[in-house]
Amino acid sequence: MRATLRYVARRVGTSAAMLLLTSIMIFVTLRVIPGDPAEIRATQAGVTAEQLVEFRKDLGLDEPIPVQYLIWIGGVFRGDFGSSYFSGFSTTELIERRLGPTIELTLAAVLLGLLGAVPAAVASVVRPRSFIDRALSVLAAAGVAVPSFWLGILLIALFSVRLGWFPTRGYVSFFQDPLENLRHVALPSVTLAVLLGSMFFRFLRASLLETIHAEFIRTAQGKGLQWRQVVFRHALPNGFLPTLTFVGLIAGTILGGVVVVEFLFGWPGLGALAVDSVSKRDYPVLQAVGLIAAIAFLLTTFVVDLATFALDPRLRGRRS
Amino acid sequence: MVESQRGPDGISRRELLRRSALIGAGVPLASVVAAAERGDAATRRAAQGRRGGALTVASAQGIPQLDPMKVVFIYETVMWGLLWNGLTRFTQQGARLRPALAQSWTASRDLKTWTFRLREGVRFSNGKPLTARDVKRSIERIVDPKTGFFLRSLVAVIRTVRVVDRHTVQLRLSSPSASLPVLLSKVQIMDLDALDQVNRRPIGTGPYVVREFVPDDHIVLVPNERYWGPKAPLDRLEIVRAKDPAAAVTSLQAGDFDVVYEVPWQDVQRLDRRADIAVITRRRQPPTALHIMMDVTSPPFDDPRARQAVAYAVNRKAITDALYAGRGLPAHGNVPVPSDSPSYERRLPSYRFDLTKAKRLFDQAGIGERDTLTYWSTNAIAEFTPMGEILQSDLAKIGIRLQVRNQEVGAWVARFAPAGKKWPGLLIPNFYTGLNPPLLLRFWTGFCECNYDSTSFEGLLNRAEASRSARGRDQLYKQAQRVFNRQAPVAVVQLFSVPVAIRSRKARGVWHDPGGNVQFHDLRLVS
Repeated sequence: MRATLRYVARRVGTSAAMLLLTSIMIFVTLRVIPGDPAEIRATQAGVTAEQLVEFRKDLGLDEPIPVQYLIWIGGVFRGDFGSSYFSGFSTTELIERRLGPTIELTLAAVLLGLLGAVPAAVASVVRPRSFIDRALSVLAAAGVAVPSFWLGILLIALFSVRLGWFPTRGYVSFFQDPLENLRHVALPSVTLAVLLGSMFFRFLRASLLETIHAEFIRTAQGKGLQWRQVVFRHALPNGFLPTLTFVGLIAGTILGGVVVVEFLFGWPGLGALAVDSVSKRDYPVLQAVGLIAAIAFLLTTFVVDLATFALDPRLRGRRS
Repeated sequence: MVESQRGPDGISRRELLRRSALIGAGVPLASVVAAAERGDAATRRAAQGRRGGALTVASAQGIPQLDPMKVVFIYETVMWGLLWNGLTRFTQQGARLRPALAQSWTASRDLKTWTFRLREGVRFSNGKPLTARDVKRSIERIVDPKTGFFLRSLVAVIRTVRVVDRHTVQLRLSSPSASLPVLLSKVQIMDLDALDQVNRRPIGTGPYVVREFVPDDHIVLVPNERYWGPKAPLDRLEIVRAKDPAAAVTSLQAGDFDVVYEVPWQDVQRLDRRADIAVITRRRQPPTALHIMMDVTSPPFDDPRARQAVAYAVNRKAITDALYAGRGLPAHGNVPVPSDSPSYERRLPSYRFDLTKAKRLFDQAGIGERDTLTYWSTNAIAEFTPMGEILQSDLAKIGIRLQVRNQEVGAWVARFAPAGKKWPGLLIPNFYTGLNPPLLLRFWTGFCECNYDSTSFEGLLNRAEASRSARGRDQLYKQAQRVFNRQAPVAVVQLFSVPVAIRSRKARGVWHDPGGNVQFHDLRLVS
């Protein structure tokens, strides 16, 4: 127990340090790249240099960067992430509106991906080098190679335009209309799930193949257990653990995929908010979204590590 | 295909040109007769269709906020006619300026004092009566540099605003302005007591009010029950963001959208061929000037011969046909005034595509094979880079090297904006819109990022503003065009307007005003 607490404390400490460094990196990078919010306003003809000076002053951009950072981070510790330079809405409110749809899309895609990947990997492993195994491997390779954007357009063209089964874009809250919510999330989540499921499948298959040849599996077989029992009771739990770690490792890929899918399907999530804010140089929104993405990434890897720690008695035994 | 200009009473070209001459030079000096009822009836006749129902408008751009005085992106101006009104307005019936919140106006002889008589009985959407005080406050706010209105420099000529009585307001200007009424059509009158709620529950006098607004995502409008004009044509108008233009077109075809603002040009001809979809552009006197800027204060384009060479090297017709579905008006005179405008100077020397002339001028300016010019483009506007590639290919034929560099929009704009920066050797595509021709020329009086600053040019425009006679103004604008043509501060490629696709069997009533702003307040279901 003490070892576990020490482990958790150490992870929290390193995560906090990484978060602070990440916040500095995001803040400085935004101010170093060409263009600032005032200059974005200058894309309108008629805006003068004097007006830009006033804009910058109003936004606090005339202060030195370290001063700007301290003002911002001070606000973050007070729960104030600032307001959008363009809409005037508080960043917290903008993010709150978008967080739910992004979480829903991500969870739906991960769940669909796993639902597809796990049985496929098992089917592949129980008959290695068979037609099923080869076909699934080829499909998985295609799933990883095909750009999400292209796949999404294809799904829209087929299921929305031609068949009319699903809407082409948009979002309806689950609490407003559950059925419409499911109809709207179907295509975006499938688009993302194809990529994630393919990645899960390849990793899980490799992990299972390694596990299936382990000594304890031969022992289980030698004890007279049926093949199904060997696979589901011994091979899968052990083979799945590395996949759990893999989920944490590809959290970044998931976040990136969500941005593309949200863009394509008009899904009002954080990814779409981030893309908008980049071109407008809406610093407060970008900084907040970047911070949240970093927190999500760290939290995911933290939860995965904890879950692995909890599920794998060998790790607990080693630590104590 | 639907023409956005011809009304059902079939205005003749001669009549249209006659009326346009009034607008191109400003408004008559005598008081404008309150002909609002005639105009409204014409509007009603023109927008045939039934009242009620719901439509969805989509665009790849979003609306980040609703304050009409803090517009950052031109697309936000679509909200002006929906939620707000100015003192004056344009209607779908041609280019004539009409009364809106003001029912009449007069000007002093020196055009420096303007008196506006407000329409009585108008209320804001919260029930508060509109008074001269609201007009005063709105105008003062828009002139205040802290507000950051993008056309502030043009209305900054307003020195004071005085409330004469409850329904009369008087504007005193620092210099004469014959086009003030036209500029005031861009100034939306707000209830500034409710300014803190402008992004949640904006209070205006327009035909619609906001039911729901999610920045950069969607906005839902419902009729303003207190609107002073005819009731809004729709029960519900939703304006949504479709971030990807290709996906927006797909959704239009699938019927998820009824109108798409700024469809990709590559889809215009294909969509227009469909019987159920029409692509609307402003065919007559299109007001958006696509041009290629050069820094006139830095080498090599501080030499007018170098700039003229570029103007000759631009294959306007090829660009219009290849990239704008043939819907633009090539600017062979190299001025930002459409050639079908009555204010256009028809005797301008032509800059028709001529690589021989371009080569001779480049040689005279000392630009040759050893020099490399750079076309500074952005992927934010799909047509900019292909336009540069066409130019690159043509310049290569005469031994001029042009490299095309593509930038993200923030990096792109940071290089040259605002005016005053130096950017030698660059050719930068851009477009200006928002003002009726020939007022669009004003964007080259100190605002252009090309750093063009010509006393003679600006002097002619100022004299035009001070001229009481429409004919006199016209002549001065034409002289200004001759100066512009000779000095060639930019290479004007074409005049065009934003393409809007509409499901024509379901909806109608989208049009472009003379300044190029797309209007949705007449949008309605087809009978």
